[in-house]
Amino acid sequence: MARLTHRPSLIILVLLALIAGACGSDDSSDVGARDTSGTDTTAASSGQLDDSDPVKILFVAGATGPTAASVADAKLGIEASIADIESRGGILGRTIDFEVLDTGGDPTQAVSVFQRYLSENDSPDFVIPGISSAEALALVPLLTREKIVSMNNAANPALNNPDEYPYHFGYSATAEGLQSGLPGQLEEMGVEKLAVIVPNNAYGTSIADAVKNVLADTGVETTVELFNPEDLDISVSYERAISGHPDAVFFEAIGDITQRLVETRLAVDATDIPTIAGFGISSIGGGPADWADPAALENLVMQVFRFQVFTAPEDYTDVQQRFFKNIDAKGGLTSNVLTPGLFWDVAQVLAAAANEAGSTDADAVKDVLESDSFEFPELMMWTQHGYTADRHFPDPAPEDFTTITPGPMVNGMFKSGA
Amino acid sequence: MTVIWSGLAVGAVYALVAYGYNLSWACSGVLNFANAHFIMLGTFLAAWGLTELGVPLIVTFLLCAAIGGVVGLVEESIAIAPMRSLRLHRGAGGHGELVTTVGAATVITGVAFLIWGSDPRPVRLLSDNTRVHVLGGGVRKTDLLIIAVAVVVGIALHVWTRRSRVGLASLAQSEDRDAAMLQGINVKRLSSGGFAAAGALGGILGPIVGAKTLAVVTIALVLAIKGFVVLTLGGVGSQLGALFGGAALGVAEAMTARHLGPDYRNIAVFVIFMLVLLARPQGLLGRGEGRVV
Repeated sequence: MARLTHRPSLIILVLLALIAGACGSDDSSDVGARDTSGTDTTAASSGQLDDSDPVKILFVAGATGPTAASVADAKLGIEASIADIESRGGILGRTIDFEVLDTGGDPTQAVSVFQRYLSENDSPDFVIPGISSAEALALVPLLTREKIVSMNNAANPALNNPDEYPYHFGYSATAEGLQSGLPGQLEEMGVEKLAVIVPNNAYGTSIADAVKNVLADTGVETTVELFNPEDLDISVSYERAISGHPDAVFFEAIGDITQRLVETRLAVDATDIPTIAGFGISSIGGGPADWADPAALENLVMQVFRFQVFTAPEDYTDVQQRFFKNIDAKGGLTSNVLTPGLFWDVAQVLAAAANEAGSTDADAVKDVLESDSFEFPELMMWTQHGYTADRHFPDPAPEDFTTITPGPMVNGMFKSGA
Repeated sequence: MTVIWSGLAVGAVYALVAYGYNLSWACSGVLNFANAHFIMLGTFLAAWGLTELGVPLIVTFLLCAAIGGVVGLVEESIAIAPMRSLRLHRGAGGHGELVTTVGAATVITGVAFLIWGSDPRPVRLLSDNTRVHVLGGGVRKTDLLIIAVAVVVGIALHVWTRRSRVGLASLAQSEDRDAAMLQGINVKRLSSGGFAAAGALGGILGPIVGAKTLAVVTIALVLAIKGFVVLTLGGVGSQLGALFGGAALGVAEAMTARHLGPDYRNIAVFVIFMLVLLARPQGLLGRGEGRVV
């Protein structure tokens, strides 16, 4: 046995090398699912386009792999939106040909499958470049070169650069924009000292910076505790954060870490401290009321978009009626309304801009989107929306966000728990 | 003391993973990379049984053990036995099992992902999981349970290895497989049994570990790496070494995180790891071996 006592350390190195290798790129993915229901696609790849050709929208995203569930939600929203647009005359009177190029969730793969697509087909009219900043950052330079208008939910500020990427428009707010309602919330709660707990990764630090920035002139004293998202037990980090006796805690994370943060409130006896959970908490299953110990949710509110708050069918706005009608026709929501709603809007905005421009030409559509006079359609996500020549990201109103006590999810929206 | 309890609970989880490594190592001479994945499988079965279906606790434990055991047996049959057979017939050397067990781990992860998806699921093991004060520190009842289970299982496995016929046979096998065969030990059956036992152990520990970590696919990799560190720290083959190694590592992590910050946690772990290996290459309680010169 002693002959092998050195082997485990070697084995750990081998394991780490294998893991590192697994994080690299692979080239196994290929052109993925294609949805052409109800549309004539024969003309799309036939060369010269004319007025009878369908308008082509390409969604380059990880339909398989780790992002598959989110991409399925996004696809559902886009397809429902396209059905709605076509029922109201389509884009410039033309039908819409929607296709998904599967990237396996790998940004490198995204570029290669899109390049292959371009070599075999005419350029699409619009591209939705994935559901993450990594995919968008990889694709947008290529889309810029090809002069194709693109829009998605990627929130990386580097994408909000009209000089470099004149045809790319973001639809999610930046981290700072998402927290624009936080100062008002803290003022209502009478908070003067806030402890911020976030994972020590790019997402966590961007949230921490955003919170500090939006609170910079409010007089709220902010301390940030970064924890390792791979830690099995984050109670030590949580205790460090509350050791300064804050008036309130703000935490934000994505995935299982969020659940650990909620459970840790019980472990460190912190349920008496008012706590604001960031938007990530609503993205797991049916929301915290579905999976958390009710005791862990005491004194906790969660940030949500206004349109994620439950609305009874009889109180639906016009866009909500059309959204749910078309979503239900496609089989209904499988999770919360956020991702389908966001991507519903993306298709609606692109269609409205092309109709206003009278063309799908990239420069014409870009000019319309940047124009003050362009009237955006009624949207699920934003009550006010617009772009300028200098800003290609939304500038949301604080009213677009709210906080609610965790309650059950009904029809993809959250009811307040109390 | 609260920090120490936190560290001991985490260390207990690491030790539970390391026990499985030791078990498969002793019975088959293979360090099974998929061992932490048995536990991950158990956490999901527990989440499904206890939390979603309300299956009685004892039935859930039995189900986890049975499925874990079957998966262990299948892994041994597919990923280990053929490699040995090939080596026997072709006379080739090497450690192909290191790679095939990584493959088995990948398959288990993939299957778990397909069945349960990426969303974490809670495991409701104790109806009352409040925090209690013990020896001046606060600790949740789940954490106390994990620590107690780690101690009991560690001691039980240590005694079994040293006192039972099968345990002694596994020790003999791990020392010298050929000599053990000449002594009449059925090493093939021992290997299959060891993997099945490690799988069953991992499965049955799933509900307990999951009560702390949640059922989530990605947890297996974290446990696999930290479990190996504890295994090496305590000494390969020593269950008590795994227990003490886990406790030491967990407490060191917690104290470092509390007093220096979470960023220093992994640095401290690997500094301790390197220092122990430099001073005692065989681990804290591992046995050294004389060398004929």
